[in-house]
Amino acid sequence: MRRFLAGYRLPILFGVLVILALVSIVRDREVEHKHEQSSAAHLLFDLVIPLQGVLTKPVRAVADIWDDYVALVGIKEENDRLKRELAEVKDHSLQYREALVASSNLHRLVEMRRGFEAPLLPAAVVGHSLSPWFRSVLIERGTGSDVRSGMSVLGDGGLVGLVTASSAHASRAMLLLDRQSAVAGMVQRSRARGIVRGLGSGKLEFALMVRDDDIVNGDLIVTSGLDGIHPKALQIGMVVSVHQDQDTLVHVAMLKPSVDFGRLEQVFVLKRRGPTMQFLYENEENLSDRKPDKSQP
Amino acid sequence: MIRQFIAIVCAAITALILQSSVTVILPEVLIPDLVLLVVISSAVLVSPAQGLLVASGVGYAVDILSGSLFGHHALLRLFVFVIAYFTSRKFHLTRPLNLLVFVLIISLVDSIGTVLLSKIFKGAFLIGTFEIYVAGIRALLNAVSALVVLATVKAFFAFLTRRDDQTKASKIGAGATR
Repeated sequence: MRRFLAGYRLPILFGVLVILALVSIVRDREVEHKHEQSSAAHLLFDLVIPLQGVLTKPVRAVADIWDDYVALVGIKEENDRLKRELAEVKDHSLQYREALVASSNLHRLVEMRRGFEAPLLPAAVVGHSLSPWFRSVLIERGTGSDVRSGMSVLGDGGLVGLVTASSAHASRAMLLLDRQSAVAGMVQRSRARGIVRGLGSGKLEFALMVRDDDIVNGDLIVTSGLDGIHPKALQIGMVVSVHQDQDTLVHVAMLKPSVDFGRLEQVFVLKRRGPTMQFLYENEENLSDRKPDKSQP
Repeated sequence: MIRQFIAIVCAAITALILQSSVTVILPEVLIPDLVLLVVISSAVLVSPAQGLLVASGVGYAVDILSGSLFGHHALLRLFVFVIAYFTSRKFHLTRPLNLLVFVLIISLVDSIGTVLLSKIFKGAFLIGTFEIYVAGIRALLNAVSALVVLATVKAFFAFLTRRDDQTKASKIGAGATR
């Protein structure tokens, strides 16, 4: 037996590692979106993210020195500040416009006001996904700051994505651009509803449910809130082209995202889960806390 | 042996952090897959057992930092290591041209593997025109960077091994004078 193990040590090791990887994949697929990261993942997050932050700062500093020199000292900072303020004002204006357009019903207005009052936690982006196939960012806020999976991530221009994993001091957020991302959206002008999907590249796809829906170039697409994940009225992007094919049930529009994903340095985490995410995460925790009823056969 | 293992682990961690940090200022398309290159270098420089462990570990790390299923890249890196190990025994991957061609091919195979695993386990089909373009560009970048990465890891190994030899020589010398 010992001779057998010694002789086939390497194939056995390879087999064990492959089986371990397959089991991890299957297990992760089953518990995806339901639980927070395992302790090993937490450890890696907490180990790597601070190191990344340390390395990212000088890298950014070198890039910033060039930008500041070209843009003249002070002007860039003022420009950034004004952009942030303008984005905030635009967001408020959009939300107020939504309240007027959607309904004069007081109950709905109160619901939207609650959405406005959800706390926003600023977080710096310290890294991007290592694989170009999965578009995500790493942020330096975690469960220690009450950032949890299922929370929306916003940028200066609008919706950025969704937190998909978090440890004590760091989190990972899947971007809208990821091919696995799907957000319920609507045309702000005509209220036509559809699904916004990432294409992996810098553009988004808005698939409309009804072929005759009113959508034209230049229309603004916002979240509809119907997915129960993201709050309503967050900017997603602007329509740049509409493809209407008479042979299909839906037609598709291409969007230019409102957020500049290439220059994502600072994001805001909405510290409140939507009802769907609340159901998925918190309901699972409640069910797992329940003790089994031993009186039942 | 232990120093070699520590050296390759350090190289893998450095590649991991560097690759993730540089994406802050450069688009991902323009960044070679340093982690993949370190795994291929380990096939040339360390023992198979050590290389398998490093490939698996670094794959899990990439999974956590990239949003793929946990085990996705670990599985891919294991196969990359095994292919690289057997290829290096036959075709001497220390030769620049052999390494360049191998890295080009294995990068494309890795991309295909990523798409297939995502399709099988997630039902998500990640390939599109943009992704084909990215896979091609990245394969070329990996091929060009492979020589630099291998040389860097080798230099680090040589540095550690020289220190290891010096330490052993001084111990033997100390033992002889007694």
